[in-house]
Amino acid sequence: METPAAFARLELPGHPALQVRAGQTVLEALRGARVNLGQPVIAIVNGQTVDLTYQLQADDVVRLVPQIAGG
Amino acid sequence: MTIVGKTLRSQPDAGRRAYTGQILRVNLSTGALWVDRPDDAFYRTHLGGRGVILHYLLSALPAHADPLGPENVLIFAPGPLTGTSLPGSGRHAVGGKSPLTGGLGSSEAGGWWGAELKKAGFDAIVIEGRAAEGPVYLWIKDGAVEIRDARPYWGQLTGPTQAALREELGDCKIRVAQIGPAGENLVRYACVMHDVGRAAGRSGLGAVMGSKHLKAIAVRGTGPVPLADETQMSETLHWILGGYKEMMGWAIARGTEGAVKFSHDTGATGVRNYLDAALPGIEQLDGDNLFSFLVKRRDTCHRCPVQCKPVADYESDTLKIDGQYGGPEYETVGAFGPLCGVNDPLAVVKANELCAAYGLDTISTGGTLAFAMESVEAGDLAGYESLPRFGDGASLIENIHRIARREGLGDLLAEGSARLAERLGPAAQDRLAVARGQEFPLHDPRLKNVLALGYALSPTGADHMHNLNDTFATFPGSDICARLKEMGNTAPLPLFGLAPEKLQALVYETAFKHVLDSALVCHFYPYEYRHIAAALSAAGGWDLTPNEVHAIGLHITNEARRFLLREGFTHADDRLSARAYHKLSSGPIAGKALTPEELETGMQAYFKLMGWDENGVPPQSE
Repeated sequence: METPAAFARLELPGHPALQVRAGQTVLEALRGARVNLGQPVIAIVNGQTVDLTYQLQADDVVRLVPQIAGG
Repeated sequence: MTIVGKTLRSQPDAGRRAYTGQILRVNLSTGALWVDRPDDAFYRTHLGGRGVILHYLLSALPAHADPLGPENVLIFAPGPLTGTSLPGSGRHAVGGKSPLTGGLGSSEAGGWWGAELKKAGFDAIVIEGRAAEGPVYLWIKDGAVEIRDARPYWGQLTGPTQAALREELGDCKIRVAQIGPAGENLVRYACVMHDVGRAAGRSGLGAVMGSKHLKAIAVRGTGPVPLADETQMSETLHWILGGYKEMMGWAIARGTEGAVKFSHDTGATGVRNYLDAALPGIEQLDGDNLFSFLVKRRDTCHRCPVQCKPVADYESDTLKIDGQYGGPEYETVGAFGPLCGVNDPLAVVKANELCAAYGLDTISTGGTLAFAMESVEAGDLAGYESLPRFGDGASLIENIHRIARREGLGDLLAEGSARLAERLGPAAQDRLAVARGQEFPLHDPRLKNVLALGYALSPTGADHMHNLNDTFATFPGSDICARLKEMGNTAPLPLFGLAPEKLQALVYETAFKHVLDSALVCHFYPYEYRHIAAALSAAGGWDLTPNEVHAIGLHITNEARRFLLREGFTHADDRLSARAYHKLSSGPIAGKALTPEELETGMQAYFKLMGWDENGVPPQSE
């Protein structure tokens, strides 16, 4: 019997949130979604800042936060 | 007004190039004025800005000189690109030996002053000595130079001083570099202000200017800044002017104020002297809120279409914020907001205005006050009036006045957090957030680990400008990744840690930023090596390749290190203070921080990449 697919929630700046498959990295999920964010982002997963190579787990809530240069 | 020194008249003769071939020399002790005329090879090697600053610090400043003594050398240096058609080139550098760190003092400012100096016929001003008879200012107009009496302006805030100088000299287009009372009072992190609102903020160069009794440099220039080869510039101009609206949309939208909440949420900013993970009410300090009622218009720099500078204007029955002083950048909001636990936007923006009026570096002012606030909670500063307290905007404002005037506790705070910690005893070292005695910028080293290593090694003390910003290097589409790929480096890079490819990236980015600070170009523009190589070639009539541009940057990295070592620093001084290793128990960077051992291992790997020995000593020749 096939295991039901697990998903994570991706919250993007300036775009609607997406449901993406768990098991891939944040960067892979972004590439798959074909969303042009227009600026560098960093990921916060369940309240912790993580690398974009973080492998998504089922029910993760991923907030992608734009990076802006300091001045 | 009396002319108190000698006068000089000198015209550029470099031909059709974007440098003038003239560097103005000033000895305030004797009143002597003269001009150095370097050859083309000098400009091709040193460019301008930090490259020229290091040349004069290594050749004209006696080793181990007192930073606040007459022998220190204060240098104002635009670059070969300043004043040209390249967007983002409206900048110049200020340098000297830092009274805060004892190392390299080097800081850049945007605005209009640097381009005006080039139009007036000079590539740099090198100032030594001290005006013994009282405060003076320099007046430079189209190759003519005078040393004039500044006694009526001593003690004045920057806004009134600029207005009075323009009135005295009869020209509202005069551009003014100056110090406020903080520089006059030798606050160790006093800055040099330009056009009132633009600071060469870091390193305490305003105190160096104050120690020389030099209140201001007023400049008016009407000459051209011609390119040697217009066609070499055209491709870069076409690229940036066609794409800046998309590539720099963040700057057009909210400037760096748009970063406040995002940076806070990722753990990049530092909260309550790096003790907490979050500031309740942070959204009140973010660009969206500040723009809704405080930011009334935008300002820009010479030849910049982006207009990223917010101008804050506000008036109520109890508070006035004067728009002539501009508005706060991200670093300033972070320093007076989260770092001091203050979420009141009016207090934070007023603090910015006061720092511009007094001439104080907002990063070190905020960092020193945050350190003091924690020290107050520890009971270490009992007995002083108006103690600064976390979350208390009124005490923040009151203590900025006291720092600039060196009143009461302000006299201690004016020395910076590292000297204050020495005075308070060993326990205070645990709450210190500095490298080489300079307060951390608002980029937390516990999140940004290569940047942390860059803080420890920086010749200027903790500095986020000539450094690698880890969080940008993780995203494949960032300008940092584009430059790293251009030079054959791995990109994107892992976020945490000090992996070898990240240290190699630090070598590249530090060198590139030194080039930008010498050329001189704004770091916000997403230029790559090929663009800077073409622009510099267009300016100087050269044929620079991207690899040659990198080699110039490496040379400046080495020269800055040689200057530090000459001034007595050793590898033992390449370190971060205790707060960089303090792990938080919650929040976005919970449990994150390098260890001192990891930092040392990373530094040894960096030394090898640079060709330095295990003590961080560069080879005698490159």
